[in-house]
This record gives sequence, structure tokens and C-alpha cells, in this order.
Amino acid sequence: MGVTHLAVWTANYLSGVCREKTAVLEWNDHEDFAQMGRFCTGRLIERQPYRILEVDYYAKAGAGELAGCMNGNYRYIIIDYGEITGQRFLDCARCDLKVIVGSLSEWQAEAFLNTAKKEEKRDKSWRYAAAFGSEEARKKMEKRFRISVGRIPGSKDVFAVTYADIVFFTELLRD
Amino acid sequence: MERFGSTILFGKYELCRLLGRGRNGTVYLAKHKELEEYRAIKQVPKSCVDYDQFRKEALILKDIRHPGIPVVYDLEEDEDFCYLIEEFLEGDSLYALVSDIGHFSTAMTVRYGIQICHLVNILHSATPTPILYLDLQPKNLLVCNDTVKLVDFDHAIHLDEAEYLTKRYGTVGCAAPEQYTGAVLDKRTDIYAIGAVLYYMLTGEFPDKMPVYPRERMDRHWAKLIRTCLKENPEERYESADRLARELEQIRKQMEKVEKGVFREDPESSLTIAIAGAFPGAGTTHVAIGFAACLWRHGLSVLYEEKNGSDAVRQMAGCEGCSMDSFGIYRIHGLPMLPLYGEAVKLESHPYRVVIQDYGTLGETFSQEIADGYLLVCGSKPWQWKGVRDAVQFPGNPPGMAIIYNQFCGQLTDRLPGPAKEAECFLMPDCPNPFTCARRVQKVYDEIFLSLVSKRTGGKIRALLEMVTRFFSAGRF
Repeated sequence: MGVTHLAVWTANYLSGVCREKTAVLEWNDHEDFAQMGRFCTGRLIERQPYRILEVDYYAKAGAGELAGCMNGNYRYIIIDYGEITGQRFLDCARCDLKVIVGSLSEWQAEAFLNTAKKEEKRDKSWRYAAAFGSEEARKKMEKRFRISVGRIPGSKDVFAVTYADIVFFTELLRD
Repeated sequence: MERFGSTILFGKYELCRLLGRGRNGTVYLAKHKELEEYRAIKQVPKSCVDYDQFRKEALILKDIRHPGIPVVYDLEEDEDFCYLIEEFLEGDSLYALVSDIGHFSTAMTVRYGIQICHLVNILHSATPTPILYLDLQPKNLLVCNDTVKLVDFDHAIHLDEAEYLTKRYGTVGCAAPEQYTGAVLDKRTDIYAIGAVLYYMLTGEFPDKMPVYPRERMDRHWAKLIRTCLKENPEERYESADRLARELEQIRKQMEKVEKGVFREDPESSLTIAIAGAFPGAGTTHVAIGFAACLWRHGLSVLYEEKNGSDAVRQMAGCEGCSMDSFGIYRIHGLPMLPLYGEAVKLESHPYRVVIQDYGTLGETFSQEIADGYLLVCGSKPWQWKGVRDAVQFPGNPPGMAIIYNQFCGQLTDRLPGPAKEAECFLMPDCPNPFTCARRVQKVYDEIFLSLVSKRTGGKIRALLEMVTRFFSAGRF
């Protein structure tokens, strides 16, 4: 679905463009961050956090890391929840801004719709974004749930933020 | 239609933001989803205009190809609106720029004036039938990286239609006298508007009375040129935009020589000046902005570049409500300013020829920068002397670095801590607003620039310096 992709990319936007100290916490079991750390730094990641392009990454993070970050001097803490199920949904709901990433492709749209159904009292802090799927499906979803579903632009490199990406993030993260 | 990021028009244009509202319609920035290119989409309610009338603007634009005139890509309509899909031209309007700084220098006016004449001449030379623009005014002229662009062709017509034109529009202050009466309109109607725009750029005001008299301090060549454009009788105006451009070229000739001198006769050449402070709070950003704004007012293609972590540009842009362009540059009070971006940000290289870099305080990055000139900003108060001495004697200082004693007050300081041997010193008076500094402050910036240029050319071209001096004198209105 591209949740980690969007999380890392958003962090690079906040750090590179907004010049704010940013951390990304891996709050799922994918172990993607350990792999990313190895790939980008060329060594085994032993200490938390590791840094790539001014962003701090916490692999396999939990309450301890989150508390540490909140007590630290980060302006933005991005939490990558992976699939939003059970307890993770409740944890996610506590964040200041929630971005639900989904796909509107015919074979994946149902899961996205089910997630949208769950959160009945949606306020402006819930944002929906999709990278795949038809325009018709996106419009249908917007109409049915009375929400705005942004389209995530295609990104080849999450460590590069172009002008077009800045326009997208400005809209996605607008207060 | 204002839910940006989620509204897709005609299956391919994703709305990004509102660009502006005009008399009849609204213009949006949109992104073509497949081509990943930006477009300006003009939306006009069908209650304001019928489709044929709307189509006319597209038909006029479709055969013109010029970087200063938007390309028309398509026409669309739905139940309530007509849509014109055009090339997106970035920039600030002349109106916004002049509102910000009061008025332009002669150098800027002549530079933009020539470009406006060329744009109008392209329309007037269109074949088989010339085009009259008929609403030339500062809000329809955009300046993007020192290039003037003409937008909004709502009221443009073909010359052969002028005779039958019943409804007449125009902007008060720029519209020619014949636009208020039933007299026939022709190319000289646009010449009047060019004169009004030149007057506006030079003075910050529109000519409001006929006949127009020049301002007391207006150069006599300018006064004659503007008076000729603004003649009540079209027969007495310049006969073509091309002729007017040639007159402006005459005024520019002197300056052209000078610019060639400054840039070593290489139009691609650039000049980078690095500025750092002796200690935090020395006023480096203030001086760097003041210096860049001074050169910008002289008509040079100049950029302020933030090279420190203060985030000053973004904070100013936030206060002023400015948006960045595709180079990541904000125009604050007209001055192009590039904030510091992180390594992840990949933006197009900027096209500016003079770059003023603000390093904040003295440090390794400043010393290692390869610039054409280095300036150290110091305090001039007695309680700042220790910091000044330490900074001036810093072993890593680049050679040829000049020193600016900022906010110099002669009553408080009758002597200064001695600078390193051979360092050139400048006394900078207090200046509350760096974007529009007083004449005496501007004089100091002029001296600094002349000094840096003379060092760059090895001090061998004395004539060049004289020309630069003349250039600066000519730049003062």
C-alpha cells in the first residue's frame, strides 16, 4: 500500500523543506527500517536511532522510544503503523494528524473502505490518500463517506523531494 | 471547486490551488496527472460570458508562440462553466512588485519596459491580422526571474474588429482616452497603456490628469518619452511598440555597457558574495538583505541565499504570505530569496547572476566557500570590540575579506578596533528597513559593490569602475 514509503517521504519533506527536526518510528513488525538502515548506511544498525539525511529513524519502536522522542526536541514524530488493525487503530487515533493510506484498485478497495467505515466521527485530523486505483473509485469513495481522498503522486525516490512533491505535501498536511 | 488535491477536472487535471480571481472568472493551478506538468485553468461562469465569446481568447492565443505569452492547450465546458486550459506562468505581477517597494529604479523600468514593448509588438505584428491587447496594466504583467510575461487576453481583439467594437473595457489609469469615447481603437491605444505602465513603474502612481506632466525629478529623456506615449491625440504618440522599444534601448545603452563590464562580457558569468557575522546578532542577515535589495533596485539579477539555519526566509515568507516558485525561491518585497533546504530537496538551479550568501556567523563553511568576495559584519559599539578583534584575527578568514562596521554611530564610537592589515573597512549607518534603505545606506552598499567588482577584475579596469559608477547614478530616480 506504501505506508512506509509515505512515512519516510513525509519525513524528508518536513526535514528538508520545513527544516523541522523529525523522527520516524517503525510501529509494526515488518522490520523494514533495519533493512533500510543497513542499505543506506552500509552497516548493521545497532543503536537507536540511526540518521539518514537529517531524519532520525527508530526501528521496531515501542512506547519507550515514543516517550523518548516526545521528551526530546523533535518537532514532528511520524509513526509508521503499517496495517491499521486492533490496538494500532486506537493508538493511531491519538495522533494529532492521521493519514490513512489505501489503494482503490478493485481488488484492494474493500479494505480501504472498511477502514474508512470504522472511524465514524471523522474530523479534519483524518486524511485519506491513495496511490492506486481509478478516478471513478476515488470519487465514489469521497461521495459515500464525505471525505477527501488525495492522490499520492508517483515517487521514484523517497529521499528526494521535488517541487511537485512540495505542492502535494503542502496540501496533505495543511492545518 | 475549492477542494484542492482531490478535485480532478476532465479526468486529468488535479487542482492544486487558487491563483487569482479576475473580473469574470477564477484561475486555478492544476497538475496534468499523466504529463505531471502544471497548467493554469481559467474558469468563467456561463452567466458572465457565452461560449463563443470565451472561445475568442483561445483563438487569439493559439497562433502566438512566445515565452512571455501563455500557450493555450485546450477549451472545455460543463453545465455551469467554461474552462480555458493554459500554460502556467509563474511570477509576481508588476502591480504587486511596485506596491511592495514604492517604485522601480530607472534601470528596472527600462529593462521591463523594453520587454513589454516586445510583447506588445509581437501581438501587433501577428499575421494575417494584428492583435490589439487593449487592457495593458500592471496586474496583467507578471515578472518571473526578470522576464516579463503578459497574461489575461480577455479583451484582446483582432485589429479588423476594432471598428465594430461596441462594449469597451480597460483599466482606469491605463486605458487610453479613445477607450472612453467612441473613437476607433488601434495599435496606439496599446502604446498609451505602455506609457501609463512605464509611468507607474517609475513613480508608483498612475497618470491621472491630461495632459501628463513629468515629475520634478524625472530625467528629461524619460519625461519626453512618457509624455509622447500619453498624448491625448493618438496621432502624436509613437507609431509602434517597436519604435518605443528603440527609444528605451537608447536609454539602456549606457547601462548595457556597464553590465557587460561587470560580468566580463560573458552573459553566463556570475558573481557570488559571501557574508558572515563576527558574532551572533551582528546583523549579518540585515546587511545581506540590504545589500541584495540595493543591487536589485539597481536592476541587477540578484538572489539572496540563506546559508545558515536561522530559517529567517521561511519566517518572513510566512508573515508576508508568500509562496515559493519552482526554484524554491520566495519573493519578499520583490526580492528573490532562497531559504536553506535540506539535502533531500531537489529543485531546479536558479537563473540569478549575482548571489548574496548569508552565512550567519563566521565558521568553517564560510571560510571554505569559494566566492568572488567576502564580507565580515562586525558590531561597532565599544562593548562589542572583543568579539570584533577575535573575528578579524580568526586565522581561517578568507583573503581579501572586507569588514563592515554595522550600525555605526559616530557619537558613540570615535575609533574602531583595528582591522587586520590591508582589510578594507566600511561604516554602515543604522537602517531600520533593509528592503527600502535610505540614500546614505545605499551609498555604502554601492561602495562595497564597486570595491568587490574592482577586486574581481584585478583592479586593472579603471574605466569599468567609472562605468559602474555611472550605472549606479543612472539607477537612481
